[in-house]
Amino acid sequence: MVETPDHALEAQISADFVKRIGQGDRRAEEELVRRYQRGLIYLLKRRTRDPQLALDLAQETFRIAIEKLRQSPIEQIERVGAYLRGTALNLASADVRKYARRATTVDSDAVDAAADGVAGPFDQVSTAQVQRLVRKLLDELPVQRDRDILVRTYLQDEDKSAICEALGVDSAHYNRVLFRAKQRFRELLTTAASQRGLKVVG
Amino acid sequence: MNRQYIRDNDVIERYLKGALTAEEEEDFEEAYVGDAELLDQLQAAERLREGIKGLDSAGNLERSRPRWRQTLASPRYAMAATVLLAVSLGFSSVLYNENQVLREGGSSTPLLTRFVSLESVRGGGNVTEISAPAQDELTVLMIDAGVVAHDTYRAAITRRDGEQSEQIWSRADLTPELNGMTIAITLQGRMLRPGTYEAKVDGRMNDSGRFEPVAEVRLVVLPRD
Repeated sequence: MVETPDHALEAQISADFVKRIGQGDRRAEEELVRRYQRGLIYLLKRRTRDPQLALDLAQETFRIAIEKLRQSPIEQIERVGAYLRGTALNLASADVRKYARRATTVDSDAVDAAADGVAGPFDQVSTAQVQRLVRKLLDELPVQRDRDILVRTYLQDEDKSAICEALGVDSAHYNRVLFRAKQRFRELLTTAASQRGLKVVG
Repeated sequence: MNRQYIRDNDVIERYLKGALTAEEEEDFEEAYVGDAELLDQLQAAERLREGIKGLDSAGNLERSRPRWRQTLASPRYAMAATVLLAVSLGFSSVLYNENQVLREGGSSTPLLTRFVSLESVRGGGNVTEISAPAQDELTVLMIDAGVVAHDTYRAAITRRDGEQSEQIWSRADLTPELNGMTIAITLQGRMLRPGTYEAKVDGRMNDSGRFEPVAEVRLVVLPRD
């Protein structure tokens, strides 16, 4: 399993982007957008609850970031992910719909591409199909207690400690059940997405 | 924020319900913005959450233990059911013994059976005292198996005599009686000499691979009058 990049790795990746974009490398700009666009748009959708606005804000975020990276000394941006998140949330927190939709001033194919191909691998699986997959997942769990762990976690929003106490299981067992269930559900989602002819990323 | 921290601290689930601290939220968002694998995990969990809520809204989700089952699993109900079982088994035992006596045509002493309900001492429960049974008397110890149903149980009874202890009975693969709520252990009278006894019951879920304590009860057998 791929480990989450820690800050040191993120700093190394960021330094590489900063250096190459600063040198005018257009491919680096495309790579930057490709690496961060899905996560950034997901984040903005969560914050704005408006998919179109999220796309606009993401485009504007990349425009600002690339413009800065083309000009900034290396030490000004230590972690590109943090910088993009901060910029995106600043834009989202203001009333920026009009601002975000104005014409971009940076000539970059990478920024234009930010609006394309941003659907996650599971976005196209229908709600009804997701419910069928959840039903299948629950039916596959042999012990009622493990089904209760999922229901209490995702439906009743109970804390882990409360669930463990109520069901008489320890933290390690809870983690194991949740981890396996999520892994299995992801497999089911991936299969469903691929059967719909979608390319599954990640 | 690394993957281990995210898993151990339910970061994804807490993020989805908006329960992260501001610092955790910032760290987590910075992490997933540039990490497709982590973002996949997050989106899969989000869809799982949506799916469970959707099933529940559509009335297609069995909620954990309906209230009537909780009532059945309650210690109060277990005690009441134990009493009923004891009465019915006692009655059956009397009938059986009477039949036995009639069949044999003899006048030997009928076999007696005594039912003893024991409360767990975890949390400060009482110690149960009984008078020593006759040599051929059967004693059935009724131990509450707890609210959480396990797949299999084991139990052991140990006699305590000062600092010395002796295991007088043990058995694995026990099945609870009374709707899965009571472990019944039958002992011959000669096994329960006056003294102090401890009974421990452990339960195991099939997927956990290890036993965990379910009940620990104490019994003092007093000399016969």
